[in-house]
Amino acid sequence: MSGTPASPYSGLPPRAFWRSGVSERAPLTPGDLYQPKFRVTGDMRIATAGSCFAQHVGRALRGAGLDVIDAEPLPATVSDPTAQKFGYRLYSARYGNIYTARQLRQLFEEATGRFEPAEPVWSRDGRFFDAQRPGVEPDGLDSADLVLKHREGHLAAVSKAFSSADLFVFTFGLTEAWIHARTGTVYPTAPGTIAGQFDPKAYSFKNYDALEVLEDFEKFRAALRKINPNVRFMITVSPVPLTATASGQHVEVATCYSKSVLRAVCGMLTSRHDDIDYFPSYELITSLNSRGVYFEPNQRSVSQTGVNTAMATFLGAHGLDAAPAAARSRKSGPGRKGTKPARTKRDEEVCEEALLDAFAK
Amino acid sequence: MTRVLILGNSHVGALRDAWTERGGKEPGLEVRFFAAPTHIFDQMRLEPNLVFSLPDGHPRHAEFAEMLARINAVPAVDLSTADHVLHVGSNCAFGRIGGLLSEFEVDGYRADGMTARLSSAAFDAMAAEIARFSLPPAVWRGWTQPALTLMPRPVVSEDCLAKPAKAGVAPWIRAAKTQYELKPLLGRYFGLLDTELDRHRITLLRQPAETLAATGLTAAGYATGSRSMPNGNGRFSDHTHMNAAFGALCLDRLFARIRGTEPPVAATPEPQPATATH
Repeated sequence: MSGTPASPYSGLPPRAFWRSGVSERAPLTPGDLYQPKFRVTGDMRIATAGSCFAQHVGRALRGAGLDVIDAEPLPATVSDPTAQKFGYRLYSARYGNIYTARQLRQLFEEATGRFEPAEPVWSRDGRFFDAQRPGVEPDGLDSADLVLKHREGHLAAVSKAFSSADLFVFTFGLTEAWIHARTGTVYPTAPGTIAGQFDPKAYSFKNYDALEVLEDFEKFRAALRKINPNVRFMITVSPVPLTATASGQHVEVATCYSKSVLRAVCGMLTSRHDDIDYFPSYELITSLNSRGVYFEPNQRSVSQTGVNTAMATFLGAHGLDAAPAAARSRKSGPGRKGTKPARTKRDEEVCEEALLDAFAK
Repeated sequence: MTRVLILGNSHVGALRDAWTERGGKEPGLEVRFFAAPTHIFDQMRLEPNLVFSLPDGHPRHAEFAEMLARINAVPAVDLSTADHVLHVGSNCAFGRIGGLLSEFEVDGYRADGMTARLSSAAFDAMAAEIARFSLPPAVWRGWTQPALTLMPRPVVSEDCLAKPAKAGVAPWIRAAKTQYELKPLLGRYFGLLDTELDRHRITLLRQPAETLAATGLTAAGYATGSRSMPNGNGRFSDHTHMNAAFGALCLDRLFARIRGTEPPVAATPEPQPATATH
């Protein structure tokens, strides 16, 4: 029986054991938590969506020079802060944060004409807001009709972005949501937070369980693959805790439930489908190895160090540079002084001739 | 006698032609010009003592100084010797605002064929940013003596819609063909630019309204015979330089402002979103 392992654990690599994989790992060393299932390459067109942590993901991917889709682009001369104030350049379309799998599924079904949200327009102080993305117009619009016109264009962009993606990157954020009680339409924010008015008869709190989250993402995946059969998925769980919970639990307990459900669903999806990979940003940021430094002092927001570590791990695993020369040179574009085409000698001569003529009198 | 200095790039040419045509005289005003081609003007620097000149050590100093002397007889100008300075021809980020207007239907303003819509708040935020970007360098800001007025280069002439044009005017061609209300949209931008300039004690002298065609571009007649676009000889066409008739209206507006007799600029009408969109 020589050569037969004494135990199925003998011969496993150090990463398989807590002592060598975690306890003995130097502090703030991310380790090899992530081994890609498939390779992300520079020629892939990437769509991004998800909770607020997904903004970091999109930014890092763009910074690495990857082809991140922007289906609602602005001229490069508009600065990032101004663009982002109105929801541009955050994700592949201007949908704002998508916190739940139900919201993602609902958005895509709406974009492909299979769903109509209840109460699509909310109001506040005489201004009108898109209930599905109330933050993208901070001051609202002049009329409900305008909101719907904007939404029509937005949905076309969503469809375009999702259907043209080779890789769809989604960051699961929450299980808690507010829904329209009669129809089940889910909203990204509680009515009355940014706009709308909270009516306990019209809206109800919903805390999705694992089976519901699983079904929502499965339905979304199936629908997307119908029109985009070759798309692959990179899923991740936001390490950002809940700001608040309406579950009645302590927010820390509610956060643990929410993240546990999302993490479990990610595991199920990854094991079920070869086209879905999971990137452990949640584990990287919350790891005991990080000693808490991947969070800001409020113990909720992820620090820049944490973001950098997670994204460097992702990019490194795919053999990608965090800031390749091409991407660095592109940084001179959006929001910064644009480069003017060089003046030709002929241009100079023309200007000189014109002035000399005018001043010769 | 009020001393007026008109300085700027090649767009000064139209005003200079107009000045020559009216005999180089204006009651109560002493008018001087100082101009440089854009590629030279942009290399010149205003010193804190308000002398505008080529910096010492510029790699093309001798060449540029010779050109300045040929045009102006002197290579530099002292702004402090004027009571009023008109800075002519700044591009005021026209390419940026043109780019925005060529791509988006702005709420409240009718357009056709646009694939994307922009809220009026987003337009204002982006246009205000463009206005801030187009401010002159810091040394030009914040002083009151002499009074500083900025007159941007004109909107491209509408003959670009019919004749082959340089690539830089392509956004304006598209904007003119798609925006039914380009003129009020531009007015909105200039209102924001006016506000930004006012913060720095600079006043804006807008292109005379009568020179704008219904398309929102400069009426073709004001480009005909301009120095950069000679009549019919086909040397080249840039659609951005205007003629003496244009310059004359600019001078009228400037002199009226200096004398305090300028009619007020009509307020930019607020959009009417419910009925004006289609």
